[in-house]
Amino acid sequence: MKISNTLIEKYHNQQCSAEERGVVEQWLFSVDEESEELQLPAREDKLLHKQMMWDDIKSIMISPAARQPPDKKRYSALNWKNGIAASLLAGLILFGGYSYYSKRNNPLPLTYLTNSSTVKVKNVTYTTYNVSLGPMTKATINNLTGLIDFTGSLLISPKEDLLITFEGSNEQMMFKMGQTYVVLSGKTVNDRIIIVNERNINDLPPVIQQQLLQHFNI
Amino acid sequence: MIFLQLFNSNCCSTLIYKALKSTTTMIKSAKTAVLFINLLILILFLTSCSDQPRQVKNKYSLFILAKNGKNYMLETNSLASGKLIPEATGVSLEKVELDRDIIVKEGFYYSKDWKKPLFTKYKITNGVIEKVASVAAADFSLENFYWLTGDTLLLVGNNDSDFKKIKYILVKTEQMTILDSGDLNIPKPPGKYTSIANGIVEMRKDRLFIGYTYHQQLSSSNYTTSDTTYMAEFSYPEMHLLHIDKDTRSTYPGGLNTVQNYSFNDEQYNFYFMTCPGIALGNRPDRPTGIYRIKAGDMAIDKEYFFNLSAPIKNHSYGMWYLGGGKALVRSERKDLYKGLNDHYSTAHFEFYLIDLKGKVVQKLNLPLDKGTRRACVIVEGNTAYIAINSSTAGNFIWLYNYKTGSLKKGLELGGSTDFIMRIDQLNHF
Repeated sequence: MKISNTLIEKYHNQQCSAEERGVVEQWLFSVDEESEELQLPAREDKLLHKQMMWDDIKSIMISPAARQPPDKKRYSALNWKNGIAASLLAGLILFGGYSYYSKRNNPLPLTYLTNSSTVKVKNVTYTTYNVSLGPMTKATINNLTGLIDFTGSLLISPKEDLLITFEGSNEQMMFKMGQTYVVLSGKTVNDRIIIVNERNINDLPPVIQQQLLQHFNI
Repeated sequence: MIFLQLFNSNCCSTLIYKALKSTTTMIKSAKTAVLFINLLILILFLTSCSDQPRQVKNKYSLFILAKNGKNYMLETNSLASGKLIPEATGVSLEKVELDRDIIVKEGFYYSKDWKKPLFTKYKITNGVIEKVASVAAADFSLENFYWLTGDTLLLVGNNDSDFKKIKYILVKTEQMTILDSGDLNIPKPPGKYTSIANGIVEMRKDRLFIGYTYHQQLSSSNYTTSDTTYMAEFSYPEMHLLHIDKDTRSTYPGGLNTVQNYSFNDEQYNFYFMTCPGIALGNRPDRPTGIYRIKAGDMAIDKEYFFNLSAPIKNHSYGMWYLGGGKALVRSERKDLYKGLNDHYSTAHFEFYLIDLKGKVVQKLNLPLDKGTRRACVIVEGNTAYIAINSSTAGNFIWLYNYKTGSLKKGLELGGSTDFIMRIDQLNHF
């Protein structure tokens, strides 16, 4: 079941079935540092939007002065419940904010990914695919056109069939759900782009395989 | 009751029943009683034997890559006919760290684990592949192997921390113990070169030959290779470097013989090896694919012999198998049919050629175009070469080629979800 704006609204209005409620709560309380980051378009100030969101939260929160002194016995339970409520609210607003940007910036915004580490791999999870960035990799993903401009090395695992084009390559390639693809690209215009299904890695030249072993341990 | 259970538990029940019935009528004296007890012991013996699952030894194994990305191993006694469906009778390899870069011998599969520093021995029992034993293989990337006498196996590869050294591990495979290991004293990549590639391992009495060259990494997706083929000679078992031979007629000697074969000895023990400068290995397409020779009794590359395969074939080749009588098979790409590395493995563009090592002539075999950049796809038995072909239009078949008569015919078919027959091996010799 996918998390949607409608589902969040149903949850907020307490109209969800037990299954739907479970899905929403799992989504809200899941802690995954590598999961969806809010990707803003170029020139948008992240801090400014963050402040706007917190202002929105404050406007609907009960002011401290209006609160009654809490019953000592129920204090911890109330705090816990307030925490949950605040988390839900923050989640709702963040999701709303994301949807707002998605709609406002139609076509969908570009996603900028950078891994400046010289040794570590950076993993990022999106709704439609997971991507692992090899060391020293920069990528710009146009989520509307499926165009990826990057230098370095990527592993892409689509969660649904995706048509992707890589900058410098004229061909649109079908990336199949459930399979993993290795993509390598150099910095200069003379560098070729290598795209290969992970299951065919043994067909790559050994020197490229060695590089993948070093980067991704595959 | 025991008798009834025994009868029900094996296919010989009718025979045993008849024997028992005739025997019971004989129990009229002490002598016949003794005979009866002996017969009972025999029955128990026969029954216990038949209760054990019979482990059938198969002659061949086939490594299949299915369309859904899964790997299967099939074992069979014939490549000459029939049809096999990997998802029906194959052994799934999902739960083991084993790909198609393996060593197959006498019923066992050997592989360097992908992620663990281990070299592991596997066996298929009752449709399940299971680990038999492992030895340590730290900082080691397996590239080539060589069977010495008996169960002694020499593994040669790079250090996987920076790929600048060539290392070896000597393993007794029966007990899976390490006899020796260490670095081979080959100069590290000089100057602009960033890594070293080992492609040939050959033993001649107390001499070990290591063919290698150097790579230069140009970017994340590009590299090139030195224009020189190096052949280092070591004393064995001391592993002392004695000499390094250099030759610039071609480059990138051999490849990974865990994936495909690139060398052989003929009947007179002349050693032949091929070079692979094409885009799929050396990435020096300006250099020709060639065949070198080390003559029987010599310890250096024969400067008088070089078979430039690219001249008559007009393409680069990868993979070479000896047939006999100075004839061999090579597998050549068709650069007019693929666009680059991205479709080199998925486009059917490979052709097989019969080559005459002495006369330096080639003859194309009338086979469907084959796909898969590198594969262990040939087994030679007598006058017959079994050739695994992955055709985009004519299915996945083992073809039987009689190099004496030139006849070609289809044999075993791999159906179902088969995408690639990735390798065929002689699993047992009998």
